[in-house]
Amino acid sequence: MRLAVVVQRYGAEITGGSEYLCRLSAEQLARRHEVDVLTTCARDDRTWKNRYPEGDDRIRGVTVRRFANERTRDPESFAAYSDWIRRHDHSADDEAEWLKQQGPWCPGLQSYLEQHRRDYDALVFFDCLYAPTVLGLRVDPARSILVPAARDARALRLDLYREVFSRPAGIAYTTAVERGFLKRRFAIGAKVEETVGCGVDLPPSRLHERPPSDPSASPLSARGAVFRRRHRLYGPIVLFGGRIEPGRGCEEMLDYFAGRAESDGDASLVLMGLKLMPIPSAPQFRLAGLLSETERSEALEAATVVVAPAPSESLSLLALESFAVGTPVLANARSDVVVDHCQRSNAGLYYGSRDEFQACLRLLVRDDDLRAAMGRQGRAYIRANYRWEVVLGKYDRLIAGLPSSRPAGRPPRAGRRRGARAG
Amino acid sequence: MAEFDTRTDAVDVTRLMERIRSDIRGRRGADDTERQARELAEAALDRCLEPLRAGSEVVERNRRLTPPGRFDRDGEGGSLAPEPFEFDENTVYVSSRGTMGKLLYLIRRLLNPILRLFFNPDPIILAMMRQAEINSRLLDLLDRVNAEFERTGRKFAAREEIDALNYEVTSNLVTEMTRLAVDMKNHRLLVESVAGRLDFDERRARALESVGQARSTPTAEAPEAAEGDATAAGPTRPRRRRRRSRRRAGGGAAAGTAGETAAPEAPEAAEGATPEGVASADAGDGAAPGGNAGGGAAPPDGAPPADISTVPPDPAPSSADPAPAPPGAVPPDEDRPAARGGDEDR
Repeated sequence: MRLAVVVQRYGAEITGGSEYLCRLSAEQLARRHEVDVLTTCARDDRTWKNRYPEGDDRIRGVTVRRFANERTRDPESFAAYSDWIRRHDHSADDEAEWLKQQGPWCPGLQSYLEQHRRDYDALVFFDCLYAPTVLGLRVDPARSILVPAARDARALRLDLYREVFSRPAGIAYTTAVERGFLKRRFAIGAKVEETVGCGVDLPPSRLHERPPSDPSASPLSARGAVFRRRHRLYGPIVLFGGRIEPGRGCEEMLDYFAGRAESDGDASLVLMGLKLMPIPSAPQFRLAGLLSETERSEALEAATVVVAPAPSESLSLLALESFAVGTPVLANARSDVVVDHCQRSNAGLYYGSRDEFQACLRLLVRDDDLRAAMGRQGRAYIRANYRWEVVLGKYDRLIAGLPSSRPAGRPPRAGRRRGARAG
Repeated sequence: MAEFDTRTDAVDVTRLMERIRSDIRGRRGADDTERQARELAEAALDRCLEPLRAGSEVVERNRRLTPPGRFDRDGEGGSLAPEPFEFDENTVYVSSRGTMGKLLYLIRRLLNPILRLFFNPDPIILAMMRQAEINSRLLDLLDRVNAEFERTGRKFAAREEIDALNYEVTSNLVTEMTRLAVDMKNHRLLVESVAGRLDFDERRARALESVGQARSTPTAEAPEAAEGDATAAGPTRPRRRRRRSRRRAGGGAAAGTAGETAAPEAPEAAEGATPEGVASADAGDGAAPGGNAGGGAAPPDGAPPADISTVPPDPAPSSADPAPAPPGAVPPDEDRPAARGGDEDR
């Protein structure tokens, strides 16, 4: 089958948010179907400036068609307009203007969808918040699948999002929590629904057994030893991965971690990802920076505990990847999604206050048996729910369940790539 | 923590969290309120002492605060308040129609007894007069309050300037304190770094010494030399060799010492092995009082070792009194450490 995946930005450099979810899903879907990613030339989601060249591209086996944005976003004026629209009565035109100001504003993508919608068996839209999804869902709702990746954002209170959730024929929720939230807030008009999420590669289990206490074993063969040596880390590692910014709970996490008692040991808080806020210059805070996927995986293996401090997450791939390598998670209790993961998997704890953060961390760092048990449970949770085979099977069911199919008489394009590959 | 049983594979996170929370509640105990108050106080202090937050913008924000304004007698809407109405006992009878009005006044006065048959207007007139009086007093009071407001406003404005100065001073103090703290941290790190390097250098020096000692132990290639050394130095004297390079030797300031490093020079040394040289070879381990470990002490590869058994170990000739060279030997050269006396080296 031929699928169009629509997303606001796409690139191998983007390692977070719904865009990352979209890229991972598109790369996996491309193994079974012919996938075209339709996106903008933007790389930065604050301004939506055109950074990538317009036209066709190929990224990790996926065809990407980029369209230039017609306008960029001025963050300050947009924030002021958002503030106004939240506080005042407004019309549908005001909301349309808000959507335009939010961006990315890409009429080229919209007109391409209108012209070529019949070339695809299904249109999969990622992230309900942005204009390409809001406007794109109007093109062919019967053939559209929405992957909302919705947070409890204030923006979702605008009336224009009622239409977004009433139009598509299929919805692929990322989590059960998101499903419950959207069903409570909106009148869902979808014919087919699934809680799909995102697949996680389950590494070979031998890497994730706890290292045997064999003194003759090579030091480099121990779990996470390469990462530890590279970054000169010796004690327990508390790892965070993602954008390091106050909005993602990092300020609170740094504060809580800095306030630990000396008797709690010499654990280091290792921060991997893009630094967007100052980090205290204390020896227990270590910035690992942006890491490759291999190194990221090594870091997760090396970690004693992975912290997921963001108060609002749509999926938390960090937590899932951590479960996959058998490392327990310490999550923010305000994030319903991650708490749900922790409770379902029994592979992570969650904190709602400074005391809880410190008590949970102390427990996880000190208790090897607890960590090992949680690690096993986390891997079992991923194996049952978030393997790529499971996730892709759910997508296939969604696509098959769409009420509208390719019009008769058109040559099916399904299997062209698979045929070529097979040949 | 011992209070959590985690030996089983099935960890129940919900129960675990309940236990953690109850544990925290138990530890907090009765002084919870006091602790919360302390936390709040610390948080406020943090905000004040945090230079990133309490920077110059605090002062600016403080300046932008609107001073207390004049109380508006006309109300918020801007509509004019009615003028005070003067009321006396004749007000209900008068008319504003000129002469006709005067006539009307007289008629009303005349008919007043008839009016009194229906009701008594006097209490109403009295009440209205009182109200008019109250109104005028209230207006006076309002004017006085306004004057008081203006005076207080001026005081507030002056106080704000002082506050702004205080904020500025506090902000500067906090910045300086933070800078000092950062400096102190940097210095601490620097000291740690220097200490680490010193430690490393010490370990390196020890390692080099041990390598030197290991190399100077008797080997299969030079058993005679080892034997000779033992003979000359005695079993109780520690073997000591020093490395020296040809370059340094050529400088003339320091003479060669260690046999292994002098190996390239050895052919010359062997060729021109004077008794002095041999003696200094013997004295290479410090056996001879004035001798030195000559570079020729170690035989070159393939060259026969010097027969030290034939050389009397004592007395070691000094460089100032060189022994006669044997026939065919190259006279001692100042530039050749192998043939130089040990005294020059010391």
